[in-house]
Amino acid sequence: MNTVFQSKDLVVGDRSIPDIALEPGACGGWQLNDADFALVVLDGITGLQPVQNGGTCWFGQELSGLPESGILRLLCRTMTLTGDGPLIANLNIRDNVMLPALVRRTDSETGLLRKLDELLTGNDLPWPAPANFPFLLPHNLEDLQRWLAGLLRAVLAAPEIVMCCHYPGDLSVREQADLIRGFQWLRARLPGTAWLFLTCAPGLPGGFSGSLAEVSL
Amino acid sequence: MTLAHRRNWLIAGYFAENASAYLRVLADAFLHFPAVLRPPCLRVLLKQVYFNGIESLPFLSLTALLLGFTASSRLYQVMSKDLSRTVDVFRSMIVQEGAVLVVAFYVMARSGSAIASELASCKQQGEVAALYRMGIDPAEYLIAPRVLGCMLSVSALSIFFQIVLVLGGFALASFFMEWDYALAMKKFLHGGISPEGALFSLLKTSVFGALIGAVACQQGLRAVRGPQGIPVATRTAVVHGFAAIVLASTVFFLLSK
Repeated sequence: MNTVFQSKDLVVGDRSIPDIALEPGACGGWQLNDADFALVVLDGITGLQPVQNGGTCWFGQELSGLPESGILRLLCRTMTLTGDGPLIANLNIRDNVMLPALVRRTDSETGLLRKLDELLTGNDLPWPAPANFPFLLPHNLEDLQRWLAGLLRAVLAAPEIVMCCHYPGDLSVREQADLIRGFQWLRARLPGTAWLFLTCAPGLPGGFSGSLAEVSL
Repeated sequence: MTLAHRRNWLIAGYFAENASAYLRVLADAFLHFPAVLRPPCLRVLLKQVYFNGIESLPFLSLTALLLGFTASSRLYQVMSKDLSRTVDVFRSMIVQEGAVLVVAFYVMARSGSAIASELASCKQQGEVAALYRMGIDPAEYLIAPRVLGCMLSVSALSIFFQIVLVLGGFALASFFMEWDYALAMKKFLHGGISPEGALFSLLKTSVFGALIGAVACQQGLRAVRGPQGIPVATRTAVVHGFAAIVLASTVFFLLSK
C-alpha cells in the first residue's frame, strides 16, 4: 500500500487540512463542490486557525511570516484541485494545460512542452483520443477527455499535491472504471506527485469516512 | 432636498463610481504590464494587436481616404478656394483632432465591444473564477495584455489613419477639384510637426487606447449572470467608452491651450 500523503505536509496547527476541510457542516454537509472545497482549504490555512509562530507549516515553509497573498501563492504553487473550473474556451488543450504553470512562471515553456509530450506520446492515453488531441479546443472533446485535460493542467501546475474531487451521483459504473484507469495512468507516470482523493464513490479510492491523509490507489 | 437635487447626486454618484472603477482597472493593468512578457500573456497581447490593428486596416484606409477627400473638398469650398487657410484648418481640426477621435471611436465600437463580450462570457462560464483558483491573477492574463494591446493599436492606427487621410484625401481632392496636390502638400508640411506635438499626440492616443481597454475589461468582468449579462456589459462598455474618449479629448484640448 503506497501512502499518498505524508501527513506532516498537511498539518495546520494540530489538525490536518483534510480534517478541517471535512468538518461536518463546514460548508453545508458533505455536498461540497470544488469552489467550496477550495475555500474551505484556504480558510483552514488562513482563517480558521490562528497563525502562530512555529505552529503552521506548509511543505517545510513557515507560514506565519507570510502575508495572505503569499500564503495563497504558495498554496497555488503546491496544490491544485482537479476539475478546478472549466478549461479556457478559446485556448487549445495544450495551451490550457500549460497556462497556469507558464503564467506563474513555475517552469519554462520548453520544459513544460517536454513534460506534456512525455505524458501524451506513445498512444497510450487511458481513453481513445484523436492524434491531434493537444491541439483541439475544449468543446471538441468528450467529457472524459476534458477531465483528463483538467487533470493534466492540475498536475503541471502543482506537481506536489493534486486533490481529486468527484461525486458518485454523476458517474456511471463504466465512468467510475474509466476514472480509475485515468488515475492509475497518471500515477504511473508521475510518481513524485501526491494525490488526495476526495470521493465517496464505491470502487474509487478514498472516502469521507477514512483518514484522507493515508489514502492509496 | 428636491427631486432634481437628488437626481443630480445620483448621477454624480454613478459617474464617480464608474470613474473610480475604471481608474482601478487602469492601475491594475499598469502594475501588471511586466507580466505581459510571459508567453501566454504575450500571445494575448499579439492577438489583441492583430485583431485591433491589422484587421482594421482595410476599413480604416477606406474611411481615411473618403474622409480626407470630403473634408478637404468641403473646406476648400467654404474657404472660398483659399488653399493656405484650407490646409491650416484641415491640419488642426481634421488631422489633429478628428482623425484621432474617429480611430478611437472605431476601436471602441469594434474591439471594445468584443473585449467586453468575451470577458463577460468568460466570467459567466466560470473561467475567470478558474483563473483565480489556479493562482493566476486575471489582471495579468486578461486585463494587462488587452489594455496594452489597445494602447499600441490605437496609437499605430492613428498615425496610419492620419497619413492616409492627408496623402489619399489630398490626392482624391486634386483629382475631383481644382486643387494643386503638390502645393497643398507643401503647405501642409510647411506647418511642420514639432517633436512636442508628436509626443503629445502619441500620449493622447495611448490614453485613448488605455481607456478603451480599461472600460471594456471592467464592464466585461463585472457582467452579471443570466441572459442579459453579456449584452448589457457590451452596451455599457461602448457607451461609457465613447463618453470617456470625449471627456479625455476635452481634457487634452484644455491642456494643449
